[in-house]
Amino acid sequence: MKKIEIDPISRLEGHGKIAIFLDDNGDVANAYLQIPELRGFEQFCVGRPVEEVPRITPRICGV
Amino acid sequence: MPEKFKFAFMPSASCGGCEIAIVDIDEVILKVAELADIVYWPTALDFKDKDLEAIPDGGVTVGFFNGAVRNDHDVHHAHLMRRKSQVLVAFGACAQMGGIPSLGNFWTTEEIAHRMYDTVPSVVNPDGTRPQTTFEVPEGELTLPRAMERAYALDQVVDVDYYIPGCPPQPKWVIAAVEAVASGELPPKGTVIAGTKAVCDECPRERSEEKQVTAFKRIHLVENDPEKCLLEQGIICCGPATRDGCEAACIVAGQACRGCFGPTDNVNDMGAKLASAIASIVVADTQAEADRILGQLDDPAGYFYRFGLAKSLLGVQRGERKEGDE
Amino acid sequence: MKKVLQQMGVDPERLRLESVSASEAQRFAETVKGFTETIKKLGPMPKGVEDPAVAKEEVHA
Repeated sequence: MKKIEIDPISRLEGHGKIAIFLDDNGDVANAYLQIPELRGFEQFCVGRPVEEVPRITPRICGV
Repeated sequence: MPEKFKFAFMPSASCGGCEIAIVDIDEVILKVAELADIVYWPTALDFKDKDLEAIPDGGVTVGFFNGAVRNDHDVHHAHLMRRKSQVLVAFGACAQMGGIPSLGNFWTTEEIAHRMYDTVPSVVNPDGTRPQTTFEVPEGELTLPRAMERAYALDQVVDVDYYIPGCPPQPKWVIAAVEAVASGELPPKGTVIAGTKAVCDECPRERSEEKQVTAFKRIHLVENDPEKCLLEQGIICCGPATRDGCEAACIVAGQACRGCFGPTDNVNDMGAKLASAIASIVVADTQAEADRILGQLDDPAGYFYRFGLAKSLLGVQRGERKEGDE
Repeated sequence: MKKVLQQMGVDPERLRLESVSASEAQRFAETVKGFTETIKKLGPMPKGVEDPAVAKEEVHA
């Protein structure tokens, strides 16, 4: 099948890509949203003093 | 009519705050628009990788790269930006020294993924599904970048010309950088476009000649004197080892500095510098007493390398870690 | 510092802080000898983790 990739998704914070598969008629057979990012906030906040966490987590999204 | 410059903005493992910092220059953005064409900025406009790839090498006058280098796609982007840009700027703390995402270097990527996809209380993933770099679906194949074994700062991957520090960078330094480009008077390669002293020099609080700390305190558990230096009151502040230019914004807001502008000049390892600065203000008669006071810090590496873990000279070591150590 | 090293994944035994005055030549020699032995036993520190994507040179068509 023909695959169209939109990479990156633009005009947003963060990363995303979309894969669209077209059948022989040119109709959309399926589309997939993928997130190509891993930063690990869920893990690296562990062990930090609790009063520091509100200074770390805003860096998830700066918008 | 003089030819316009070409600017490119590449996000990486970032939060978008650096790109908001560009927008925060307010009406000066009009000057930028006069000065330059933006040839790549997917966060703000509809650009794709192929648009940047189509530009001849060196065709971008100044490339601004923000975010840490965390997956192999980020590495590709770093090399791409370096090839396409005459001048490459590491924009923001993540690009300068790894930033907050580089705190992930305390763990292996597998440990991080295990937490994210298996053990975090808010996740429901009974089959243990994980992202894959390639995956077959009925219609064809999907691909994803590979998260690397560690996070990197930009200059650990490609040659960098300038740094605009901060988390986020401040409009006045973004403007200073734009003006330097406009005037053609660029500072020496490798310059960090910010102040040249330490945050203490801009800090409005009073400092006495000698600091003598006999106990460390957590800022939310004590009433601190708003006129007096935080460190003197036993509250960890990274000001002494941090480059200034931010007008001590965090301290003015009642919080301690956490070092987001990176180290002052001539510092090879910011964490080591901070450890030294903090240890030097402790007053104790015996080694045991000194150990006891310093032992009050539960997370020294997290304080000393908050924004710059990727640049520690120790490198990323995965030695024996016992349960409970982070 | 030991806690910092521990957090960073470096064996804290690789750091020793001693206070030895200029007149304690004997103790200086013993301290250095003893620590050298410790380090030899521990062996070289492993190279820091690097990712192959960064180590390799990118080549583009």
